[in-house]
Amino acid sequence: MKRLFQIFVLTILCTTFSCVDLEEEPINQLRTNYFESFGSLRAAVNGTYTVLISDVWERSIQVGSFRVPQMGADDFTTLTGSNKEEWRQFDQFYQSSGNTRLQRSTWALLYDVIRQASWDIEGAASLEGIVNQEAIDQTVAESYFLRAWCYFWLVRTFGEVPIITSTVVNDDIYDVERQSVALVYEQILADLDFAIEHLPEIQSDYGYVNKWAAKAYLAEVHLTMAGWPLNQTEHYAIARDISRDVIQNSSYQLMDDFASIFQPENEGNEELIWSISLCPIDACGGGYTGSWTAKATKPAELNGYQDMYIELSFFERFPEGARKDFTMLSNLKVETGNPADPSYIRRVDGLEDKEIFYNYIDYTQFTTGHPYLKKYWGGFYDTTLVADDPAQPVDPQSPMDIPMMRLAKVYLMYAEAQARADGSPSAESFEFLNQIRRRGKGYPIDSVGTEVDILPGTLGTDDFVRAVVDEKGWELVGELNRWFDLVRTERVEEVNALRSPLEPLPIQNTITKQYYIAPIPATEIAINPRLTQNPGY
Amino acid sequence: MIQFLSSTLSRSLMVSVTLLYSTFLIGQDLTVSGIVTDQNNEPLPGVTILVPRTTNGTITDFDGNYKLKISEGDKLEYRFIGFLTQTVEVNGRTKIDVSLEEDVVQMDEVVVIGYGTVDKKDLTGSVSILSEDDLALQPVVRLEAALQSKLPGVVVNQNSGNPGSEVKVRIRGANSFGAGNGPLYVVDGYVGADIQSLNPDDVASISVLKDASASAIYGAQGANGVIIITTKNNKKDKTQISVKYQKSFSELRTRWDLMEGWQYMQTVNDRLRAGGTSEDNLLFSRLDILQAQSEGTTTDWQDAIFQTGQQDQIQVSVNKGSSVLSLAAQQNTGIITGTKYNRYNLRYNYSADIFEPVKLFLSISNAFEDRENSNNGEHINAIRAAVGWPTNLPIFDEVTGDYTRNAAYGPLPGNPVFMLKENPNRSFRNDLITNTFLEFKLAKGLKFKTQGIINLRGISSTSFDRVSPNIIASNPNASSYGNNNRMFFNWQATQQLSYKKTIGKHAFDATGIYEVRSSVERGFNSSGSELTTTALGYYSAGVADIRLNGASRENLEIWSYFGRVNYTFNGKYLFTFNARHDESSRLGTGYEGANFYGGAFAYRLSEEAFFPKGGAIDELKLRLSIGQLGSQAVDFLETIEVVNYNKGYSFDGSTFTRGAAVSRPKNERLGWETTNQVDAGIDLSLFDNRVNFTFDAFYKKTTNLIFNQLVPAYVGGGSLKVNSGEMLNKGIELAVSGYAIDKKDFSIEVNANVSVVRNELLDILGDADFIVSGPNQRDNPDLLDNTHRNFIGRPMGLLWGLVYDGVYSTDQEDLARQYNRSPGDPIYRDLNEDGRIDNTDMTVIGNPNPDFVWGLVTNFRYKKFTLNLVWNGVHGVDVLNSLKASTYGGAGNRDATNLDVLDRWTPDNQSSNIPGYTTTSVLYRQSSQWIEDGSYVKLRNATLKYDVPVKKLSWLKGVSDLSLFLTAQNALVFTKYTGYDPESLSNTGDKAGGFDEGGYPIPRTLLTGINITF
Repeated sequence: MKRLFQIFVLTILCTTFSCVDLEEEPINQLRTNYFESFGSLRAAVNGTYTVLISDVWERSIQVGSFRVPQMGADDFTTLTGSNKEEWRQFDQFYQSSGNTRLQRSTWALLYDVIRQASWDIEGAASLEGIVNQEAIDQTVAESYFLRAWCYFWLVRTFGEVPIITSTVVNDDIYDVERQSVALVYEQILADLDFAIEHLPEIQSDYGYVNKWAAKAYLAEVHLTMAGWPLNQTEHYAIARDISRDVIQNSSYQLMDDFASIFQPENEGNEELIWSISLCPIDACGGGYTGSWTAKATKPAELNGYQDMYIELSFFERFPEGARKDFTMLSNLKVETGNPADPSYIRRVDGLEDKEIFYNYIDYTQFTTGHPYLKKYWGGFYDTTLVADDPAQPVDPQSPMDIPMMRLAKVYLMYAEAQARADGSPSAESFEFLNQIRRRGKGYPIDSVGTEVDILPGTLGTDDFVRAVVDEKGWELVGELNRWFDLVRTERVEEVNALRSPLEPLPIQNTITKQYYIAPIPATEIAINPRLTQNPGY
Repeated sequence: MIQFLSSTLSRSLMVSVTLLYSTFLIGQDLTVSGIVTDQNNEPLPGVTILVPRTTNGTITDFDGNYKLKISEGDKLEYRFIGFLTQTVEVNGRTKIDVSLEEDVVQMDEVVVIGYGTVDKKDLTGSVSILSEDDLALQPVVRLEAALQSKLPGVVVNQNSGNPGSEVKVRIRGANSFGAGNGPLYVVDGYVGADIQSLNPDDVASISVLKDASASAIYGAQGANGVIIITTKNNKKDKTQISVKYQKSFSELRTRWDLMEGWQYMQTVNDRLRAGGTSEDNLLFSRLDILQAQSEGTTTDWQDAIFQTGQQDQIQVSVNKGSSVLSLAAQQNTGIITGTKYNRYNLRYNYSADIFEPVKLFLSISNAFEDRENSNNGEHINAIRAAVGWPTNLPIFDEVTGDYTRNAAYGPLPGNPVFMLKENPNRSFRNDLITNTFLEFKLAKGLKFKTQGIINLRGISSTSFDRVSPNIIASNPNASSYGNNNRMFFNWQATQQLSYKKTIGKHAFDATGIYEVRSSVERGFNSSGSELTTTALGYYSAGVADIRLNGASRENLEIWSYFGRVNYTFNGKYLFTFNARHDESSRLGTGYEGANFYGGAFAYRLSEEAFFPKGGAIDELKLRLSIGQLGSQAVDFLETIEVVNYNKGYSFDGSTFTRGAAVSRPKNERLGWETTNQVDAGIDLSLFDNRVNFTFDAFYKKTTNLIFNQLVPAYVGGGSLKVNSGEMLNKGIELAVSGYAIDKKDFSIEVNANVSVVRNELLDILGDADFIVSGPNQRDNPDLLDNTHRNFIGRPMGLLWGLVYDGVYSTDQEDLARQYNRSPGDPIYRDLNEDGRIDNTDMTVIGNPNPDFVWGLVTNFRYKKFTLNLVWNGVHGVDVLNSLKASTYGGAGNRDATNLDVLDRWTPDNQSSNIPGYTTTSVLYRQSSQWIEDGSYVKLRNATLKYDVPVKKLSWLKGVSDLSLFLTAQNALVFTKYTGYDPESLSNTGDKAGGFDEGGYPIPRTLLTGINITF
């Protein structure tokens, strides 16, 4: 009996295992069978947005690295020493194709978003006939938008780039060449067309792109195509019409007060058409979900990385007023100075009944001697320096969203496009410019006739456009706009001539059109020698 | 829990064993009869049966039958030439059938090969074997260590002196650049078994399959050679209890001679002085130094981290009926503070012909391991710190009462004692294997075997990092913990049909097998920081404000069918042919399958009629084999793109919505690395088989090497694996064994072998000429390069660096100035003559691959004494002694601790080869200054055993064997290497060897033990 039992058990043991499926079963899903429902498509599209903000140490959009290729504008400069070489290259015009932050944070990040967006688009195609087509199109339209947005960024930064619109594997990944700027714009326009056709006007949360975001970007694409390098001026009229559509037909409005655009409690406010949406640590947990732009733009005195701060000449040219006061950190409160110094202010701390002395120091007394951008600090800052304890803990992150497109920009895009398309600026264009100027000074937007107003008819087209572009410079400083405006309008040389001789980082090369586009990362050319390099690098 | 179970189980088994033993009976006279057979159940005529210590006895008849009158309580002893003598307790039985086992030291020895056995004389491939007798005299914690020195072509390297840590085994060199090069282990038919916790005392025999025809039967897994291990089974019907106890003490074998506190202080001052610091601003005042000298203020950091290691081991095995039960427990403490390794083994093997045509084998084994502080990286860091730290600093800071911090070590919590004591880690591992087979005799010569193996393995690792003292001051919550739990469920099912037939002079033996293997690993891990208290140590998950959890699952499925045909003509011409088809889930769709073949021919020249009989040569066999093998070098999810769920995106600014993203591109066409090997060999036996020679030459080429090819960032970046490149290993092996003297009271047995392997990288990825490997030399940010390079046409893993040409003398001031150096600075050769020294001046400065290795095992037996000596030698290896470089100071604000530096270059000591202190000095770690000859000869094991003549000692009634032994391990090491040990280097990869940043040294061990058999 016992033997029979043993044999029985053993035979079962030995034979039951003899069938097997030859498949790896990853905990994640195989890509071939991933898309099976609307939910899977939605998650894939969410994942595409996620690439924009993940990997903060390496590259993501909310860190200072993403701003490296725009350092050639006149608004920001950086530290002389420390680990800021990559920023300095662009600030001082000695860009190198070995710039790792350029490679990781602009080139690699944007192409990664493109790959994910293409995957969403392929997945959406595989859902055809399985899920409601309207729902598919409406959702995947966000991926079309993000892909267009990334190519727009790439073509403005690098000029000719490879166009890849599918997720390729095996050796095909090396079979790639750069495509002409015109072809890249064709791709951008095609993707934006799809996005505009299928995106809803209003989304459930402000973090999703909607039809108006796509249209506002379409306007900017046309405005850019009208300028350098394509110089296809017929696009001004298209830019004018589309931006007018956004101003007239969308529900977006200018905020009354400039500072209120950048308050955490006003996230998703009525002026913001699309922002990179971030989340505070206490709500979303660790893992770097917040904005590192705050850390990147803070001075060392406040435990910042000071990747970038304001150029002296730009600060001097910046019109005084509420907007400048909010945007710029130009002094710091210093506690417990020398009580014997008559300039210190004495205050008695009521709670502990002790004397506190404090004073203000001007930015010229900061370690770097420069003012700082503080619009991203989102109220989460304290400009008080406690001299005895320089290591006061300051949260490196702020939950502040990063505005990508807001109505004020559309106003100014319209004004420029109208003036160029029609040959002279209209009274309406002057009024749009003046509304932004009034708010910048601290006046109500509609208080016509203030001293900051530029009277209609007082400027010719070129001067008007120059005024509009400079106004964008003040209004949108730190919003990733100025450099592209300068390139498009071919003013990089002009504004850099204004650079203060007091700047510790002088420009190292004569600025030419070569510097309008960044070098293709050397690592990419090393891997795929079929990629050509931009001239001069 | 597991430990509790394991110990409860061992205890209850011990109780059962005691009960079994107490059932022996005592009775009166009776007649015993029975039949004596061999292993194949063939009757043995002429077997002598004796009652020991009497003259009572008989001999079996032609059919193996016998009959004998004896007294109750007697034992019977069965003796037959060529077979092992067997002793049987009668226990009142009147019928005793005995099956005698062939004596393995005889020429007709049976060799275990893949999926079967073969008579040694019929062997066609290159197979090296070890029996339990070869293992018995060398006590080791891990079985692999016992392979060292004993087998030609098998190179064993003890990477670390930490008890229970990994031992590197390479058979005929390393084939692969990017994947593992360790052999495939097969334990009682379990393919791919993990032998780290196998009890060496349970092993009966080891066969090492080296050539392609022998290992081709393992197809896609056999490229690195195969080690087949058979565990002990009972000698039929023998009842026996053996107990072994041993205890050992281990100590550090060599030490670095370092400066005393005052010498260190003075040297620091000298350096500062040479750098231009004024007398008033030196770090130490004259008074400080004098005080340190008079008070002898010195911390011996080596004393602080090294200790005497200990081992206690007890092993009990019980043979009864058809079963063997083996229990073992061992507790080890290493020679570095805090390192511990405990292991508890249980094995139950049952093997019997349960009824006529059916044979059953059942094996249950469980091993539980408990390791403390096994993190090798931590030991390396601690050793580096122990030889590099200022000797004038105390372990604890007098002011804070906490560990001393040393600014020169930067952000590292570098105090060596802190590192070892405050960052504990511990891991438990339990490995439970049940292995069963049934063998049916279906017809004459036709057998069917079905085998099932289930392996459950659980690993639980915990770690706790107490934050360094200086950070505790500002952030008491920055300590962190980590927990990692993994469960493995592996199984294997093998169905095997074999047929044996002899027709006249033709003998056939055919085997066909179908096998399926599956492995699933599930993991869960948690780590965190911001602890509200550090009191909970490893188990801080509940008090951590920041927690990260992860889960994982991996699987592997392989199915295969394969076969082997042996054909022998006239006992002289032997042919073997293997073919195997493997499919693996690791490979891309459409590329899963691969075929492997092997063939061999052997010619027993000595069987020919023309061969002189009765001469010195008893046996002469020529062998030739060829075959193709694969290597399982493809990792999980290497060939398919997968979708990863990520944290997602916050569309409302306050919550996250989950997202999914596709992984980076993969190579769907990735395949296995393929190794082709040709082997030619000669086996020669002389002087009545007293001396045996085996010679082999092999040529082994691996193609489709797997390399990481960089992927452009425009498709996701990273790298993907591609098949590209070729590697060659060729070499010769010679083994000689035999009895130099073989007398009754005195014998000398010698077993010697020597192996030579030459490795060459024939081709690598794409158009590249070389690939870098090894670590970046982190002490030289201004001269950053990897320590190793791999060139086409040269061996893997060559050491890379600057050429050191001594020190600039005062006469060479002008030359020195060209390089911004001064007299007293090191001279590095400007190879490209561009007037500057940088990494373009680097070249190959050493080859860590040995010219040849040898092993020598001698057994001297004089009466009851046996002396076993195991020697081995490794010759022609270069080692970059980076640990030594760090004792010379010069980088990262660190100062010299090495006594040699006291004899450095000075204007008055121009002949010194040690750079002096100047304002311009830069000391590079990656230069030939640190290259040393790492060749060594070791007396690995010396065991003196004394067999107590129990038969003469009446008070030892019931004891059949009693022996005492004394062992010294690593007692003698002959080397020019100045570091701790040229064998246990910190970096041991095949393409980054010969690089010593401070590996855990192999200790010198003295061990004593007793062995009793009842």
